[in-house]
Formats: sequence, structure tokens, C-alpha cells
Amino acid sequence: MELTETPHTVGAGLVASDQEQTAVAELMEPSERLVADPPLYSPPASALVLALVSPTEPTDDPDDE
Amino acid sequence: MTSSAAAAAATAQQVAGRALGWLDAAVEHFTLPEQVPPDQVDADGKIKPLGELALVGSLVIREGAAGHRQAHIAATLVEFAWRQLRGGEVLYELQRANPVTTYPMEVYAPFVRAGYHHRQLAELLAHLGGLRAAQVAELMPNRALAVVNANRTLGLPDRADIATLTARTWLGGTPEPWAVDFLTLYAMTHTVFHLTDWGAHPSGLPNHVQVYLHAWLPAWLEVYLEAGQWDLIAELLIVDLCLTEPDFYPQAWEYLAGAQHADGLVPYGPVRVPREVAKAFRNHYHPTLVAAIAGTLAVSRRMTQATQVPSAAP
Amino acid sequence: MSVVSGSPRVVYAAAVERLAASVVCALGSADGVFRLRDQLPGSEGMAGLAALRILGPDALAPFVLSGHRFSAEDAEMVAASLRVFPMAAPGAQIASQLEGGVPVRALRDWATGQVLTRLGARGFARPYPRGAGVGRDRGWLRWAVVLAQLSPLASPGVDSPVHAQVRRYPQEVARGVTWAMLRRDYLTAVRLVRWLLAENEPVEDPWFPLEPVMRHVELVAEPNARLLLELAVARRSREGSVS
Repeated sequence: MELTETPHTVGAGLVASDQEQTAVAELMEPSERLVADPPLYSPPASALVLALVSPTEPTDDPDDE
Repeated sequence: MTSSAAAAAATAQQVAGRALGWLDAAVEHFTLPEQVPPDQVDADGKIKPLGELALVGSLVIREGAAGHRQAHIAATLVEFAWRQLRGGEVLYELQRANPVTTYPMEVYAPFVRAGYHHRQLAELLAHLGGLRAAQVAELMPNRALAVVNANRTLGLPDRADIATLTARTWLGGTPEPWAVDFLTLYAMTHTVFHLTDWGAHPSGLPNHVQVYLHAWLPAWLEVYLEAGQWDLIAELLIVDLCLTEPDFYPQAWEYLAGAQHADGLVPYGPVRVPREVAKAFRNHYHPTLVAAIAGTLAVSRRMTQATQVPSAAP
Repeated sequence: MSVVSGSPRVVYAAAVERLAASVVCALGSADGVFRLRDQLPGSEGMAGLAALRILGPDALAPFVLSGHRFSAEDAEMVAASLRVFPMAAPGAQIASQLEGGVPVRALRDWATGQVLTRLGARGFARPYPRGAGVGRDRGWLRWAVVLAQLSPLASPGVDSPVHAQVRRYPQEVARGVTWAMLRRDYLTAVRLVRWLLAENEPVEDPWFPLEPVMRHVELVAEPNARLLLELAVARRSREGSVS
């Protein structure tokens, strides 16, 4: 298929400001590491508790005086 | 790879040295309460840490890669733990009182690795291991491998079908690497520890499992480095060092070294650590101990690698 | 039509959501007419053209993947979005520096030209950006981040050195998927899945099955139009490569 060109009427007269250009750039390229929701500590399974070098469930650290 | 392995080993050596120093300085906090009958001692809070102290000491001694001071600390730590357990008597009493439970035997194994023995406990364990009940213990798959490895360390016959046990673990199933959580990764690390006896026998890990770990360890490390979960990071680094061809991950070692405190303590996660050792001990002895093991294995594996491939030495 | 007000970013983000939802709808069926002009919020205004500029080749997916007829008027809409947002703004340079000089936007514009040319539109083809490194030399993680930003390139009929690297190092891309899934960054995960689906045969390679990843995201992720669009394009591409 070959398309016939049409006159450039769409968007005629529109000029994007720097702020508008930047907004488009940011939405085009979402920056890396947007999400920081890694799976963290989950409750220990009782069967693992006594395994050597398995994690000991942390308690709240006692405050310094 | 070789230069990055050397860099990782150099960092790891520092981490291990400092961590051992902290354990040495904090050893009094591992003390077992006096006048408490063995079956009333807090197993998770008191017996387990002593077993872990023996584990790190036994591995430093086994690997023979530490400097004089660290080797001395290692021997001191095992000796301390053995004395706390009254020369194995506490473990013997625990096993006698709870014949089906496996943890006295698992705690005993690193002492045997370091050359300590308790004759009556050994006799009892030989008897218990011979029971049909021992073959059908209701354990999670990675825990069953812990028992198998302890049996091997104790020189007891083991009739377990390792391949079948391995296949039943999360890792043995080589599942989707993204379908995992924090605690499952601990199960994974322990599968590796026990199949290789803490890096002594990398060939204990089937080849397809090694391929799997080379593929996905980098992703898991990245996720938990970002989260600052240093305890798990140190365990993942041990996993790498249990492979036939470790990747060493120098950047992860750098981050771990950066998280370590000046006194050698390694925090378990991104938390504020109390200044007093007495208060910091409860939550942070474990990652410090794991870091000592990881650092020890890194130095040892790097030395072996450099010896085996002379042309690869820097 | 509801009107979103606020900063350009807020207004454009809402417009992107609307356009993405329309594209997803059109991808699901070849019935009905899909014309870009009808889909743009505010029709020919700034927000609509911004949305078209932002989605780039993916806004054209119904024409490429679902048989909707592409017209000169559609081509003119794309041309207008390129004219109004030439992307020489300061933000462009900042973003490029973030990615170590990878010209993400130039590559996406190049892909838009490729797709438009394939659809029969003249005057959009542009040369492949010179010296466009893709960041793999800086490790699998940096590469995965860039690849996710370049997901519109993972479209049928588009090929480049980026594609060649994905074909050569699929495991590193899969590592990126794993990393993103564990961080619950499902958009990045699906964008990388698109690459693996587009560039690897057979698609059901058992070493890293992709269907469970997509199904998992569908069932677990908070749905939003851009995520659904990536999923829809991934699924349609997959069907295209199977048939």
C-alpha cells in the first residue's frame, strides 16, 4: 500500500514548551528502578528454625539508652 | 574473571577477618546459662548459635586459608563452644531426652569436623541412625539433606537416596526463578550447603543445578543487595563459592564490605544497630558469622583456583 | 470525555492511559474501525499528540498485528506528533546521560519509521542512529533497563543490532525478567518478555517459559493501560510468530 500524502493540518500552530517536551520525554523513558518493593523478611517456617545458619528471626533491636 | 575473582577474594578476606574479630570479642554472649537443665535451655536462642560458632570455626580450620590470628580465633571459638556444651554432655542429654529430634546431632557434626568427640553421643547417634524411623523422618527436603550431611560428617552410614532428596527440594526442581521469596531462598542456600558440605565437594551439586544457579544467582543478588538484606546476601555468596566454577561477584562483596561496621559486625539488614555489643548480639551475630564463612570460602576457593590454573594467576 | 488538569506530565500520562486502552481494545478484535484521530483524547490537541508520541510504534500495533486499515490520515497524526514534540528538550539529554549515552528516543523514533514504512507511509524512514550502543557492555542489569525502555522495538518486522544481541544473549534478558518480577516491577518484566518472545524460537523454550510470566502478571499486577498494552502486544506477537 502506498499512502497519499495529506496537507499538514493536524497540530498546526501547536508548539510544545520545554516543560511539555520534558513531560513527554519522561513518560517515554520511565527511569530505571521506579519500583522498590522487593520481597522482604517473611515469618520463619518453624521447620527451618533450628537449621544451622538459617536465619534467626530478628526481634526489634533494643534501643540504646 | 580472574582479576575480579582476586579482587573479590581480597575484599572477602577483610570481611572474614573483621567478622571473626567481632565474634571473638563477642564470644561471652554465646555463653550457655549455668544451672539450667539441658532440656530447658532455649535451643534456638542458645544451642543453635553455639553450633554455628563451631561451624564457622570448623570451616576456617578445614579450609586452612586463614592467617595465623584468624586460625587461632577459629580454634578458640570451637573450644569455647565445646566447653559451653560441657564437652558434648549437653548435646548428649538433649539427644537422649528427644531421640527423634535431629538438631543435637546436627550441632554435634561441626565439632566432629574440628576434631571433638563425645563417645556416648556417638554411640547413641549410631543407634538412632540405624532405625527405620530415621529413614522416614518427616522433614522438609532441605532439612533432610542437612541430616544426610551431618551423618556423613559423623561417619555414620547413610542410606538416603540423595538424588531423590535433591529432586524434592525447591532448588532441585529448578523452578521459575522469579517464583521465590526470602525464606525459600534460605531453603535454597541450605540445599547447596549440605549437598556440597559447605563447599568442600562442589561436584555434589548436579550439573543442571549448577547451570541454574549461574543463571539466576545474579538476579537474586541484585534484588537483595538493593534491599540491603546482608544476611541473605552473605548466604548467596556462599552458594556461589560452593559451585565448581564460582563467579565471585566482586561488586556484591564490595557492598557487603561497605555494610560491615568498623568493629566487624555485619548487620542482618537495613536497620539501625545498637552500639552495645550485648544489645546488637541477638540480631546481628548471625549475619556476622555467615559473612565469616563466606569470606573464608572465597579466599580458599580463590587460592585453589590460582593453584590449579597457574596461567590465570595475576 | 473527562478532562484531566494539572501539570503536562499528569495530563499526558492520563492521555497515554486512554490511548493505550484503545489500542488494547483494537488489538483484541479486527472488527470496527480503528483510526488514530478517534482515539486521541482531545483529538488533535497537545495531550493527544503527546500520547501518540509517547507510545510511538505501539500506537500502531492494531494496524500491524490486528489487520486494521492504516490510512493517510493516521500517518498525518503521527507526523504531527513528531512535529510538535521534536524532543530536543533538555530532558532528552538528561535521560540519555542516565543510560550511558544510549539514544533510547532516537532508537524508538527509528522504529516508528520502520513500522510506518512497513504500513506503506512514505517519508518516515530514517537511518539507524549512528553509534547506538545498547548498554550490554555495562552488564546485564543496565542492559535490561535499556531494553525495557526500547520495548516498542520488539515488534514484528523490526530488526536491528539490538535485536541481534537479544537473540545472542537471551539468558541475560531472562535474568532481567527475574529481577523485575522479584521487584514487582511488572511493566519492566513484561517489556523484557516482549523481547524474548520477539527474538527467540521456539517461544516455548522450557529453560525459561514465558507464558507463566505473562499469566502471573495478568493475575497479580495492578492493572493499568500501559501494562495491559505491553501484555497485549506480547501476546499478539507470539500468536504471529506461532502461525
